[in-house]
Amino acid sequence: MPTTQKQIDRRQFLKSSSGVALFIGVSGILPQLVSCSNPDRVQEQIRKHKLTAWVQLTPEGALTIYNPAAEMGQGSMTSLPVIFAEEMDADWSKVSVEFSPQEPEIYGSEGWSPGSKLMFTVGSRITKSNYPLMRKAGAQARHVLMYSVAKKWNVPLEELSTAIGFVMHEKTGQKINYGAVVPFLQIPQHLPDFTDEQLKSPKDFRLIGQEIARTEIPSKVDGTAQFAIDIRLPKMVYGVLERGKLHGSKPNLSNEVEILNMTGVLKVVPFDYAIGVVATTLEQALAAKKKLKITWGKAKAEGYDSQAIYKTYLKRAQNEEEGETIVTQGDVKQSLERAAKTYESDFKNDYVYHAQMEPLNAVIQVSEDTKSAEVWVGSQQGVDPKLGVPDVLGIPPENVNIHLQYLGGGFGRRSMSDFVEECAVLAKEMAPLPVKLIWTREDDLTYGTFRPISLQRLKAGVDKNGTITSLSHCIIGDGGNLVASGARNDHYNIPNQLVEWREANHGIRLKHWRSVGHGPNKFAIECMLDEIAYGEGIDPMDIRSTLMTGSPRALATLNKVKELSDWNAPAIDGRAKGVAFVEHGSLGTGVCEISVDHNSGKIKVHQFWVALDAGTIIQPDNVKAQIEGGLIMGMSSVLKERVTVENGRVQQSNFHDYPLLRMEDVPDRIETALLPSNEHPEGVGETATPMVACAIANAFFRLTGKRLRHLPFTPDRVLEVLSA
Amino acid sequence: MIQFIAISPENLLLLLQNIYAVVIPKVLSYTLKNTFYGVIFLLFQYLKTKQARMPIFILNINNKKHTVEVAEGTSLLWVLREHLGLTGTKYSCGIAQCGACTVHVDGTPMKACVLPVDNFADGQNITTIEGLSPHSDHPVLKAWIKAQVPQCGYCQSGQIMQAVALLNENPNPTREAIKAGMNGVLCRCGTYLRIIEAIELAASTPKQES
Repeated sequence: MPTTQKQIDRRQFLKSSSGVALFIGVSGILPQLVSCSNPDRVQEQIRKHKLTAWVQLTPEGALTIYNPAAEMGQGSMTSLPVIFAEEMDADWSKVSVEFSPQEPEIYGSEGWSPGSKLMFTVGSRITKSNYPLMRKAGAQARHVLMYSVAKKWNVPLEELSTAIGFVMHEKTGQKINYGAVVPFLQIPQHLPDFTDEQLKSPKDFRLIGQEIARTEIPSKVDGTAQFAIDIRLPKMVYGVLERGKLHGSKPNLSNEVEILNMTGVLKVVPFDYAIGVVATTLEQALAAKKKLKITWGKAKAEGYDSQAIYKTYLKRAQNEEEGETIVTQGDVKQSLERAAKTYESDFKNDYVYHAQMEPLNAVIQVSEDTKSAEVWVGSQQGVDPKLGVPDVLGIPPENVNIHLQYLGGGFGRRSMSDFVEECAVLAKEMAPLPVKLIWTREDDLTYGTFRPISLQRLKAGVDKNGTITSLSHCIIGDGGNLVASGARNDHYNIPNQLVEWREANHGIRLKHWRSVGHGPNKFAIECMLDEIAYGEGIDPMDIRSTLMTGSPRALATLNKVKELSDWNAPAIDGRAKGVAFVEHGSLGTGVCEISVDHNSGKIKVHQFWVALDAGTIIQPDNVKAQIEGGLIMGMSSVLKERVTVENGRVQQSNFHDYPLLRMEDVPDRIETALLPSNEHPEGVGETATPMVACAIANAFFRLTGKRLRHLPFTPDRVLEVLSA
Repeated sequence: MIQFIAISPENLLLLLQNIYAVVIPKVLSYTLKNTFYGVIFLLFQYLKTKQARMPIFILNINNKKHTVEVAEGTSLLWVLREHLGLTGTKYSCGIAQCGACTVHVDGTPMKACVLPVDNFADGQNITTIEGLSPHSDHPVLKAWIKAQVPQCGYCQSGQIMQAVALLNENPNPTREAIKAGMNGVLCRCGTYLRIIEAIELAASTPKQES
C-alpha cells in the first residue's frame, strides 16, 4: 500500500545513505567531497549554493542521479540522468533517479537568458537547457573517480580509462568498479572545466540515442507512482474552494453559520475570489461546498460573450489601428501594393482548456509557529522555486520545503502556482494540521486558465512568378505572447514580413497551453500558404520547399515527410492529405490523411506522418511518444474542444460538455521519422501539436474544396462550411 | 439570517446548533465561570459528537476485509483513496466520464467515483490496481512496460483495469473491439496508440499459469 513513507525529505536523502555525495562545481568552483555519514556537512554544502550535487555513489556501486526537472510525462526522469550517466560512463543498470531538491542556485539551468539559473519545466526546454550542464557534471564525476584511482594505484591519470562503471588501467590490466572507489575517493585540487571537445564524441555514445526504458514507467503501471493528490499525512484535513463561474468575481457568503454546523466542517476561509471550506474528510468538504450560498459581485468579464466578440475583432482587423509590432522585416505595405496578386484570409480560434487528468491539488503542512512549511505538489516549478508559499506565509524561502511529485499532466497549467498559494492560505489557518486542497474537475475547468481566443488576419502578396514576397499577420486577442508566439517565420524566406498584435482584454483567466500561440498562428500561416499554393497552381509541398531554401534543416524535414507519406501517390477514394510545417525548438513537418463524413460532419484522421529534426536525440522512443501525444492532444483540441463564455460565465464544467478525444477517434497509425543530427538537442514536446489544425484544414480543402478557418472543427462547424 | 416560523424539534435543534456555533468561543470561557452554560456546552458537545457518528461499512477489497466509518452515500472512490490509502485508483472527473477510477467489482470494470459505498455491504469482490498483481508481473502490466505506454501516468491504472477486464472477456480482441472496450477511459497525454499496442501484445502473450 502506498504510504507517505516513500517521501524522501531532501534533507534526508543524503543522510540516509552510507555513500558519498559528489558536490561538483560546474564552472571551475573548488569541488568538495563530503561523506554522507556527516549530514551536517552535507547540508552545509547544499546551503553553500555554489556547488552541484548531481550524483550519489555507494560502495556497492549503486548510483542515484538527481533530476532537476519536473516529470509530467515528457520523460525528464530518464533523459536528463542518461546524459549525466553517458559522460560519467556509468553502468545504467545501477542507476536510480530521484528528484533533486528545489534549489535553483544548485540545480538551476539557463532558462531564457544566458547565465540565469531556473528550475522551470516549461517551453519544452529542459533537455536543451540541461544538456551542457549534465554532460559537464557527468564528465567531472568521471574525472574524480579516475583521479582517485590514479592516486591509489600510483599511475598517471592519462593512462586510465573507463568503461561502463569501471576504471581501468590497460598497462597493468587492473580494473576497479566505481563503487569500490568510494572508500578512497578524493577530490583533485583542480577540476577540469570540460569543453565540448573534451566531452565524448557522439560516435562514442552508448546511452544517448539508444532505446532506454523510462525509469518511472514500472511505477506508473502498478499504481505505485505517487502524485501529490495521493499524499496522505497523519491528521490531514481537506480543503476545497468555491470560485464561481465569473473569473475574479468577489463572493458574499450568506450561510456561514449553517456551513460551520455541517458535520466535519472545521473552518470557512474567505478569499477575494472564492470561499474556502476545510473539513475533516474530503466528502464533508465537498458536501459543504455544495451548500454554500454565495452571491457573486461584478467582475471585468461581466457582459462578455466569447462568440459575439469575433464581430468586434473583425471590425478591429479592418480598422487602421496601430497594434504592437511583434516582427517587422522589409516593407510589407509597399510590397503588398506592388504585388502581382494579393491574398487575404481571417482565422479564428476558441478558448481551449488544459484538461490535465490530475485536477489541481497540493498538500501543505505549516508548522505550529507558522514559521516553516512542507509542500507536496506536482508543479512545473517556477521563477519562484518555492511556488509563492513564502509570500503567503510571510516567511523566508529557505523555510519552505518543496517535495516535488509526479504531475498528472502539466501542459502549462501547472506552471502557475495559484493552487499552491490557495493551499498555503488554508494550511496557515489550520496549522499545524496538514491540508490537502483539491480542485474538483468542475473547479479545474470553470475556473481554468485558457488558451485565449484570437482572430488573425493574414495578407500575402505574390509576384508574377507566384513567389510570396510579403506576409502581413495581424493578431487580435488577449494575452500578449499567449496569442503572439509562433507568428514568426524564421524558416520561410519571405522578404517582407509584419506581425502585429492588437490587444483585447476580457477578464478571462489565460495561460500557456501546450505550444501556446503556435497552435493558432501556425494554423493561420500554414493554411494561408496552402491557399496561395492553390491560387498559384503550385503543389503545397513545393511552395514550402521554395520558401525553405535558406533553411536546409527545415527543408530536410519537408522532403523526408513527403517521402514517408508517399505524398504524390494517388489518394485513396474519399481521403486526402494535408501538410504543415512547425518550428518550436525542433523542426517538424507533418502530413495527415483524413476523410469526412458528409452526414455527420465528423472528420476522421486516418494517418499522420511526421519528420522531425530535434538535434541530438537522447531517447528516440520517448521523442516518438511525445510526437504521438502531441498530435493526439492536437487532434483533440482541433476536433472537439472549446470553452465558451456567456455574459462572462464559463459555460462548460466537466468532460460531458468539454469532450476530449477518445480511443474511437485515434488515427490508425502515426509514423515519426527522426532525422539524424549531432546538433544541440531541441525541445520536442510542442512541435507536433500545432501541425494538426493546418494539416487537417489543408487536407479538408483538397477533399471538399472548402476552407475551415475557425477552430475547433466540430461536426456542426464542418457541416456549416460544407453547406456554405 | 435564519428565521423560524414555528419551533419544531428540528428547528429547535438547528437554532440551538446555531447558537452553539456562533457563541462557542465565548461559551468556552463562560464554562469556567458559569455552571449553567457549562452544562449547555457539554450537552451540545455531546449532540455534535452524536451527530458525527457515522455508519460502519465492511468492504472486501483485494481479498481483504476493510472496515471504514463514513457517511452513507460516500463514493467508493473517496473510501479507497482517502480512507484506505489505495491511491492507485485515481480521481479525475467524478461523473463517470473519464474512467481514471476504474476498478473491478466481481470482475466487472466499474467507475468507483459514482458508486456509493453503501452498495458494497454484501461483500462484493472489489479489485483495485493494487490487488491486480501483487508482484507486478501481470501480463498486461508487462505489455504496458514493453510498449512504454504511460506518459504522465495518471490515467493508466484506469486504462489497465479496463484492459484487463476487456481481455478477460475477450482474450483476442480485434482492434475495433479494443477501441470500443477502451473508449470510456480518457488519456490527455495521447497514449492511445500505445495502449492498443500493449493490449495486442498482452493478447498475443501465451497465458502463464502462476
